[in-house]
Amino acid sequence: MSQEQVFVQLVQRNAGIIHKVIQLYVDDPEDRRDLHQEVLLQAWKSYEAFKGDSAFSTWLYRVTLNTVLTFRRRNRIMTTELPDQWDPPTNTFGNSDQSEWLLLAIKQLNEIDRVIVTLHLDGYDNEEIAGITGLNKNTATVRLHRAKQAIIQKLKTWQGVSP
Amino acid sequence: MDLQQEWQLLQEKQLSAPVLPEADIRLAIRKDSQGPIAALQKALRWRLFFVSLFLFFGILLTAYSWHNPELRLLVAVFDAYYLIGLVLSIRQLRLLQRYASLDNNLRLTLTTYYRVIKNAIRTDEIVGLFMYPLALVLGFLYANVDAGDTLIQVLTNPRNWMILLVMILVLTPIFHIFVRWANRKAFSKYLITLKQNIDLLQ
Repeated sequence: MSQEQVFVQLVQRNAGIIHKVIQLYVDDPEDRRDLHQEVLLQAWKSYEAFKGDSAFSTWLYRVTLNTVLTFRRRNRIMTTELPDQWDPPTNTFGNSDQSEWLLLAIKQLNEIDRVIVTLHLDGYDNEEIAGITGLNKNTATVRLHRAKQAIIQKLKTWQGVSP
Repeated sequence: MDLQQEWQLLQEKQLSAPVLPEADIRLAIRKDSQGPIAALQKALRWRLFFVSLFLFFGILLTAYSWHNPELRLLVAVFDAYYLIGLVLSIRQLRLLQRYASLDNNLRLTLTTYYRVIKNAIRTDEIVGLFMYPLALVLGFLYANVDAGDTLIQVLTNPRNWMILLVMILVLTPIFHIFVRWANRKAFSKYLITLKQNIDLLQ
């Protein structure tokens, strides 16, 4: 099996990572399409250097985050766009809506805290998060704690304004 | 609220990826990059084209003016300048290719991109400051010497000095301002965001 064939199969199996990161960072549909292609291209360019020291999914996560955060986007998500006393998207705070609110709360974080929180929620431990971001482990732990508190606080505030 | 549980729900509802067709992947990996390094490489290739073009004219002029030592001197300065420009541009292009890797940690990647792009812009501005005006000045001197004057005669004529001064004082800032404006339009916001994210990673 050729190297390209192996790469294609691995990417197909882990396509969710690319899709998820782009959804979290980019709102503009054109930017999303461009970035999706750019991530695939950059992953292919870097694939030769992939030695299997980490799982392919971790490596792809790293390439995707790096590509998204170094890409010149037309429209970045404005992290301060939604005020604290903002009306939630629906009138009911049922279980089905909470995950949607979680997405909005994550999008309100700055870009680096967003990386830390999503890696954590995807099951990476603090040492792995430090390895991917380049932060030291203690700083990553503190930043994660603060970011999670900010999300919880935000969700509580929104829950408070919901009828 | 259990964040982990809500995250799983969110992934199932909104973040789950549609099937990625093999053909789309193969097509994407054959396309040109639209990243910032690729944009700089493209700009650098244009500069390389102009430097090579000027150098080519310089070599033609060297052959044409071989009989006149003063013209030879002018063309030698011209050739040497653009030869250095050619070497520096090729070196810069290679450096950009080396730093284009995106599988390092985030902090290293952002820092490298910031440094490389800032350096490339600065070099571009410095080169822009000299490349085109020097070509004009040397071209002006060459035309006068080729018309029958000696280099000393050209350089001691106040009228020529006035023309040269106007060329330098008017054209150089225009070229420089244009290059700065173009770079600022292309990279200013981008560099600010990169810097903000680097600061957040300290």
